Amino acid sequence: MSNSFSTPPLLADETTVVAGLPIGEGAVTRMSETMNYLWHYGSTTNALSQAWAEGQFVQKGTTLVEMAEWVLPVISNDHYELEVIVIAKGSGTIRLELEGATTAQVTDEVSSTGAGPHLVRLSLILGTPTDEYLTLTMKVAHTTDTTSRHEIQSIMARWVPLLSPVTAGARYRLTDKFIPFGINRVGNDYPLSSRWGVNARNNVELLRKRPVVYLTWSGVQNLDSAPTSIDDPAPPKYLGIGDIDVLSAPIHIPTEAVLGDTYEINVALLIDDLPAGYSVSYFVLGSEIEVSANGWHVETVRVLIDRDEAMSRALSLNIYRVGPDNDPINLSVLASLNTYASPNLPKVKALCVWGV
Amino acid sequence: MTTPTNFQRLPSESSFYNGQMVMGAQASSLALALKQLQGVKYRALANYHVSRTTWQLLYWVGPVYTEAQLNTAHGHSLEKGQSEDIDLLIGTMPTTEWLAIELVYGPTNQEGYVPQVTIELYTLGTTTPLGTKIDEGIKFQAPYDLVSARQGSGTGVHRTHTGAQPYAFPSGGLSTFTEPRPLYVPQANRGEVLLLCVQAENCRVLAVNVFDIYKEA
Repeated sequence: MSNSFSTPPLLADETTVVAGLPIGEGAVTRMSETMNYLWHYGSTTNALSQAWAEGQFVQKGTTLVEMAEWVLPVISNDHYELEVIVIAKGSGTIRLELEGATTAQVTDEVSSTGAGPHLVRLSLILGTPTDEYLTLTMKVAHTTDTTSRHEIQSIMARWVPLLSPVTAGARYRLTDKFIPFGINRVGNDYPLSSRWGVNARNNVELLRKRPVVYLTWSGVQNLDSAPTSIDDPAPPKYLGIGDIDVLSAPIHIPTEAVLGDTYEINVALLIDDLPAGYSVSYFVLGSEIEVSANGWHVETVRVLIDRDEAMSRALSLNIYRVGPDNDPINLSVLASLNTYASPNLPKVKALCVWGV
Repeated sequence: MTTPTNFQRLPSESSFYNGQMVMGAQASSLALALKQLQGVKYRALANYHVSRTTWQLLYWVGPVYTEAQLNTAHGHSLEKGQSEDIDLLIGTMPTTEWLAIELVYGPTNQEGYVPQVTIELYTLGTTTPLGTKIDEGIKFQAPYDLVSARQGSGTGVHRTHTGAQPYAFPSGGLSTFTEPRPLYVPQANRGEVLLLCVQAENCRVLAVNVFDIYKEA
């Protein structure tokens, strides 16, 4: 029988597998099913979430231009389809491009007409991903008709969850191996083999390391014209100090990811206008991230801030605030009233954070 | 036994080798680790920043386009009675039952107007965002859940949340908004992408953080 699972699977009752008692019937089957299920469904919630107030993310030009960009981690080689859903108004086209340093680019493009709001669904289907993370670029154009502009209101993306069963044979995230379980072989009256124990333990370790997206933010570039009046669209192009209090997502980070170095938390910054030969530092989760070149900079960080006690109590979890820290360095290097009139200072065009 | 929220230490790989006595603790720790993964780590999660105009009112210059949010007052004043709708999407998990929400907002600075935010839960439509309403929704309202109008030229940044206690629905269900509570995802809709319809009056929504409440299995 195949590597099947029910959705969602029933969890094994841990009191049926305690010392001194026979392993309860069904416990190993349930654990095996849960592992198969988690391989297919783990981290299939939002990999990208962002919204814009009415009238801000707007394009009136009729040629596709690059307007936003994010970095998303790969969750497994089996999850090759990224589903993107955009809520948009007006007539126009959205084109998405997904690629990695060594992963070939894939694209999808959808047009919609009429005033809307439209639910625009796009699907990006990769070959086998060969990178830890991929960049997603969004291009937007307006189609000339009775609508005056094409407007993006919100966007979400997720790796499409896969149905039962898991494909036979070892599965991979890049080169890390997951061994699914044939459910017939772990039923009652079958031997509980040493192999099952070793594979189950290693599977749990791998599932613990699978990335979960904490935060995604992109500035909006290439408006069709620079705003000239207070009613014109003027979405943020860059991260500013006013975003520090807002871009502060409450995230549960397991203690082992805070204290140890087995589990990775990554911060990706898209930098612009950094002069050659200079470097600039930003602080996220209390860690300093030094950047010395324009473009995407991805760095593994430690959690060096205190948790949010009030939210931790409310949710009974270890809640940390993920985003640019309220730190003197950030207050001096992010866009502010002191820097906005100086166009040649480095700026952050996008910020994405993912962990475990 | 409760669900562990952290990654508890696993038995060593060699403890499962042939020739080793498999103790209850080894199998039990695997069962608990899977409970943590399904019940805590792999929950639905969406953190939405709602980007807003970067025109700033600088009192010595007037309105200036600044390309970024340069101060925490967040933009110019709200018009009296101003309202807005924001539709947000969340990919739920097959185990999602309750969605808790943290709202980051800035109240009006117009005296006499009451900030309020409602949030309803819908399925997705086919071509339009709104499908079927599956939770009547919640209302955050000043002065109970939101701060009242502030003094000054901007809106400031404040936070409020629904808490994480599941709600006991009255018999016959609901027909209107309730006070803030986690939103309920019916079994038939678990695992789907759902839509949160956020409507704000006399208030700017700056971010909406949605998290799936972990529960004891």
